[in-house]
Amino acid sequence: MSGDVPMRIDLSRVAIIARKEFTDHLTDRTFLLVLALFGILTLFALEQGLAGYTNAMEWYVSALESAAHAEHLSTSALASSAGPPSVVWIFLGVGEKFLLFGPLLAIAVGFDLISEERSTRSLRMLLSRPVYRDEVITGKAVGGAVVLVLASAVPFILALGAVLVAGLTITLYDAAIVVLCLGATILYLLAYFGVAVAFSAFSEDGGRALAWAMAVFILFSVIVPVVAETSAVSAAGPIPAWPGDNPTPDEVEQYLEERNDRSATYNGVKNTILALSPNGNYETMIKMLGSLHSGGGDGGAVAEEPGLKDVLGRFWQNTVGLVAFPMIFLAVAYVRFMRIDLR
Amino acid sequence: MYVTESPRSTGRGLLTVARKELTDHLTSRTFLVFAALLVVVCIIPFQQGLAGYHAKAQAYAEGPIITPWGVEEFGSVPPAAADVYSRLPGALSTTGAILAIAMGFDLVSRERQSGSLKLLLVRPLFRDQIITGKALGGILALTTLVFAGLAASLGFLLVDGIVPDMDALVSILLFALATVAFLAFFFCLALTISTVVPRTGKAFLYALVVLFIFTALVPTASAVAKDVVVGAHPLPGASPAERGDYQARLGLLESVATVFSPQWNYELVAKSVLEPRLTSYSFIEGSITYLPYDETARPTDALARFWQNVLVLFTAPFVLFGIAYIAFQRMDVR
Repeated sequence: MSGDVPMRIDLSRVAIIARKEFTDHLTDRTFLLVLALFGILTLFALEQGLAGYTNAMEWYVSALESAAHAEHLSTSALASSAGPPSVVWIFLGVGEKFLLFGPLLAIAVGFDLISEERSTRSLRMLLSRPVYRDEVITGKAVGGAVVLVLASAVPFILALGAVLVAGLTITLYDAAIVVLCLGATILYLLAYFGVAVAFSAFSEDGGRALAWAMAVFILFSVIVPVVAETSAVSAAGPIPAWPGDNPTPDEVEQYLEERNDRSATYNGVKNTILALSPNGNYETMIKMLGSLHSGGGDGGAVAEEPGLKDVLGRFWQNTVGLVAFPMIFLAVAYVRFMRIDLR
Repeated sequence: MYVTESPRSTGRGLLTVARKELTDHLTSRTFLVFAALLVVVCIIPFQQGLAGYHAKAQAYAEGPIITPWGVEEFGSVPPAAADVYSRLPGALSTTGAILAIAMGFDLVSRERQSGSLKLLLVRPLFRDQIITGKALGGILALTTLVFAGLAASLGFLLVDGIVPDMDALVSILLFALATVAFLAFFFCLALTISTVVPRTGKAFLYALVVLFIFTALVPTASAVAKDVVVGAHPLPGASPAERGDYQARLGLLESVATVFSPQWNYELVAKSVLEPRLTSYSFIEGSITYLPYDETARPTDALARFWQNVLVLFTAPFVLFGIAYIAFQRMDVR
């Protein structure tokens, strides 16, 4: 006999499994059904987004015209503070649709990954082949993730097509924001994909895995925001009272200080709790990306466009949260799969 | 020799199946987890409702506020105990629907997958007893859950010093019944899908897809339909006829969309029995109209006003159960 086989991951075997998973998902009727529904939802969102853009543009133009005619400082300030409507909003509107319904897509891809092969007993057949367990789970995860990347790109490509057909131009800066939004969407979908795969490894049948994944989804989409809100309110304490009818300047200053402190505690507690959930992170990122274009929403003249480094610096916590979440669940799935007892 | 039991005593077999299903549900881990999630979801809205009740009671005790535009409504009507529940319908609908789906998605498909259905059918039981018993057991479990929540919340009300009067009790009871009917809709939906789709995972996913269509596509589609069918809002200078025409088209679209979205339908019925003075609730526009504050209304008036919605809410589960029943009768078990 030739002796030991070197113990290293053979990427070609991982690639074979990933490719098989990829084609399986892409030809799966249920997945295609969910994706088609998503496409329809995107088209509706696009219709609304384009209509909103046209309205905002008309309003902006009329504001500019009145400013040019009247030459009043107040109206011109009004027009410049609003700024021209941005194409990015249309894309972000598409991204928002992912917040509630993207997890369905991700869970649909992930929940049957291991449990199906276990319940139909094809997993034993697979593992009797010359392939290691870690290669199987890695390949399956990679295949599912690639499918999700593709699926999340589809609505954005649809949106790009619609924007170009409508004759709107996209600047390089807008494109960068859209790409960041796509990246956040992919990470968000991967988070729920990780949850679904982990439950799929624990549960004997797909239905139970799906039920548990939905329970996690309810926990993060409904309960965590409410808990964040309530604990932020109770941590911040009551709203400070306005000091009497004729306050001295000192009292007013103290009042403003108290109010600032209160809102700082409120936001701090709320964001910390929300950072624990992928929904909170994703929502924060989409909102920040939306406010980037109008110069941080300060209402002043259109601010200078912040650079990419600045942008990433602003929400590195959310990025870390979004990256860590799928990693933890995929790691759990990995460990569980390595130790699974197949009899 | 002994006489075999006559097939006329179908009640016994049905009750046996229903009792077994009920205990199965009430002891299943999935059911308990989702029920706990549902309770957590309801706590905050209920608490806000309590706070709102006390604020209204205090304002009423201080007497009505008279402004140059007339008497402010807030502070001139006494609060009703049913107001405490008014935030619940919106809060619990999605979680409740997922709970109901999680209860029903594997009732038939799991027994088929594990082969226990064949064993069950060799017993002296008819097929219709099995499917009816399963549906009955599940709906009983849902009723138990809703009424346990109701009892706990009424206890909270009494501890908090709020004593509901007869009308409020009727309102709250009707609200609970509407909730059971809404949950039964999604339970029967999952049961139907479970009968048609042989694999449990796929059954759950299909049920979620249907939920997705109801919660995402119907509202979005109706928002688009509003632009396309109803047209733009008439300008300030429009004639009354034009405005009336617009309102009529909008109302028609509203009522069609509400009937086709189980969640909107449920929210409308539940909110109107809790606040009988509600005359219209527009989900697309987001506007609500009430009767003037000096008119009173009974909870049953709300049922009369929105009888179409009530009818749909309570018959839709039966229709779905009918489909499940037929599919189960004709199922090929080998």
